[in-house]
Amino acid sequence: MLRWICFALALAPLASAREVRVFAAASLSDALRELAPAYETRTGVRVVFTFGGSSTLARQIEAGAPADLFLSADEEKMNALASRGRIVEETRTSVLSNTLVVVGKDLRVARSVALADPASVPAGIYARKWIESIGQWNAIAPKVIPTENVRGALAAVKSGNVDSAVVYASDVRNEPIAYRVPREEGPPISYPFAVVRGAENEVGARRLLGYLTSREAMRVFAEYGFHGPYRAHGAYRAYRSDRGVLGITLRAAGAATLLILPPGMLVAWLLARFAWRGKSLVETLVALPIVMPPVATGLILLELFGRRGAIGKWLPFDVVFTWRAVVLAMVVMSFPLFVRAARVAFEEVDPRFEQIARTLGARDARVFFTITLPLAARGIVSGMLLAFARAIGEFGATILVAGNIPGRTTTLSLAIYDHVQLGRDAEAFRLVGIAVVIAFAAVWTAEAFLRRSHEPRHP
Amino acid sequence: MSLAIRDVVLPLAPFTLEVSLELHARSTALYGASGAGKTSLLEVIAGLRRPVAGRVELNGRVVSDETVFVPPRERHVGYVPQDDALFPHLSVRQNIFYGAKTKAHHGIIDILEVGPLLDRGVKRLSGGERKRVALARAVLSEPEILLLDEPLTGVDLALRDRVLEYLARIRDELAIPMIYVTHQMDEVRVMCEEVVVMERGKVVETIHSEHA
Repeated sequence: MLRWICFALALAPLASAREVRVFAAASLSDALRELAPAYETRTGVRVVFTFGGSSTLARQIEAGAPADLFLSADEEKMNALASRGRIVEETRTSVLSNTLVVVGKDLRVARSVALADPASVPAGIYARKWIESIGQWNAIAPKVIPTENVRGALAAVKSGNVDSAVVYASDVRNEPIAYRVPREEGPPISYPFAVVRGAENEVGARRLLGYLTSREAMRVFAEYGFHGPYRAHGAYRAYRSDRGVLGITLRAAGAATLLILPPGMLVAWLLARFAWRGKSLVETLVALPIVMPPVATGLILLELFGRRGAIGKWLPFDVVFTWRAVVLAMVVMSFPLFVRAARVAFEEVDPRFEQIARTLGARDARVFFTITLPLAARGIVSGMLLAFARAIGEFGATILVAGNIPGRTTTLSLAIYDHVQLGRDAEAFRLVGIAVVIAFAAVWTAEAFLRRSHEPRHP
Repeated sequence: MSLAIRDVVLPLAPFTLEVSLELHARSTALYGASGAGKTSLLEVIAGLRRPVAGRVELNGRVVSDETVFVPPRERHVGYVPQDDALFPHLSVRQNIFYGAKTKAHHGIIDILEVGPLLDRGVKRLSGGERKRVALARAVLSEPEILLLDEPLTGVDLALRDRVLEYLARIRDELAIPMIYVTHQMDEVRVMCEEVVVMERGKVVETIHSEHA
């Protein structure tokens, strides 16, 4: 499937998609430098890093530095950006944590201790919190030599300029470790990631973020000494959570159903009430998406609605790989179902009611809205429910034309697929459960509407 | 009222409707066995079917010929089909006033005694009530002519005289001429000045009744 996505990307190139600019906490650099090449070869997207202290990076982003994705080493820096509206809140996710270690000499015998600046840099702040919690801050504070970031503190020990340093476990390779701060003893260290608001390549940033939170990336982070998240991942919720996915899915399916309604009713009515030239051609075209491979339909939509596509080039906005593409795929795939149901509903309206209304002086529009439509309403509502249910289940066309961009175009079906791919069976089955409930409710209600419309009209 | 039907041809399933007819009476019966083409002729007059040939004139206006076809909503005919075709999703009030030009027609509502039914749903009406509602609906659209298809079908035997009475009041008090389709000669005698006898799509006889 990844190949398909790449294919899709290649077909509808996004001008800025070739590069993602990542501002990342210095402590993440080793792991990210290993992860990036794999991502680059797989997607053809270049990942450009700026490493530094989280506080510096946050300030730069606030000042408008060209970052697409921010990987911070503490929640407060991210909170600060969030409160100024500089990050895309729903993408914020915290999947990594770290622990502290003391390298070099034991703190009690060291004459100088290098810390990332405990006034502002997360590693230093965490270190100070831990030292305070064990009641040693007053003794150690005079010996502290602050560095711009945590790597500086480590380098100071390696070069022999200071006796010891408190750094992240993930920073340490071969340096002598005097003490590993147990996870319970140290402060909770959490790495929040988020897409920067107004990012030039927001889509790319979201995709990379998706990769960095995948199981594959987690394995690499673990090799570098990182842990899973502390909290039951605050924002992991919005990013990959059921609610986020469900929200996207329901909104898109609702929009698709409403968009289908006017043209669907028109086509259904024309098919039900009149004989006209080309009718069987339209009938066939309308039914086509039911029997076509959805992937083929998706490919056609990609061709038509891509930036250079026959339709896409005339549109003032992007369709492909946005929520609009999700809605588009749903509209096309659900349209036939709705038209079929609505057509039957119109056909079941006795035309004599319409004829009588005309003899009473009603114009065609009035006949339609006061007689035909109300009498067909149950069948039409039932058709809407079926279309809605079908829209929710849409997969094949969506993955091609909308991609699978977490937090933006990842719908229920795509999320299930994702979970299965990444071996998250429990999550997959939870979403499957939701899908079953929605489908059951929709079909059952649709049938209930039809049953009531078939009650005899005369007592 | 004048209705002129000249050489109207309309192919139907077992035979072809071929009718020439001129009516001037206040009430005319189209009499004949079931399947004689009576209802089809009403539908031609109402504009619900377009004949393949011939001309229909209503009060001197050509409403249908080779080039002209006036749609039903511009013909000013009140058509009450055999099964009333009350709009099932509307209340009695909404049905009655569907084609009304104004809301002030209490006269008709009184004549047909449908006042007490106004707020009911049409599914809860008896056969006689349905018929009266259908009549009121047609009359309130201020038709130049009423087309009644077997108006006593579905009405209890005991109530038939009442319905005939209502029809007579519409004819006399409101002065709306009517064409009355039936296969019962006794109704014809009570209601109609003129009887047109039809058989297999053709007019076989026109009788001027003594009664009026």
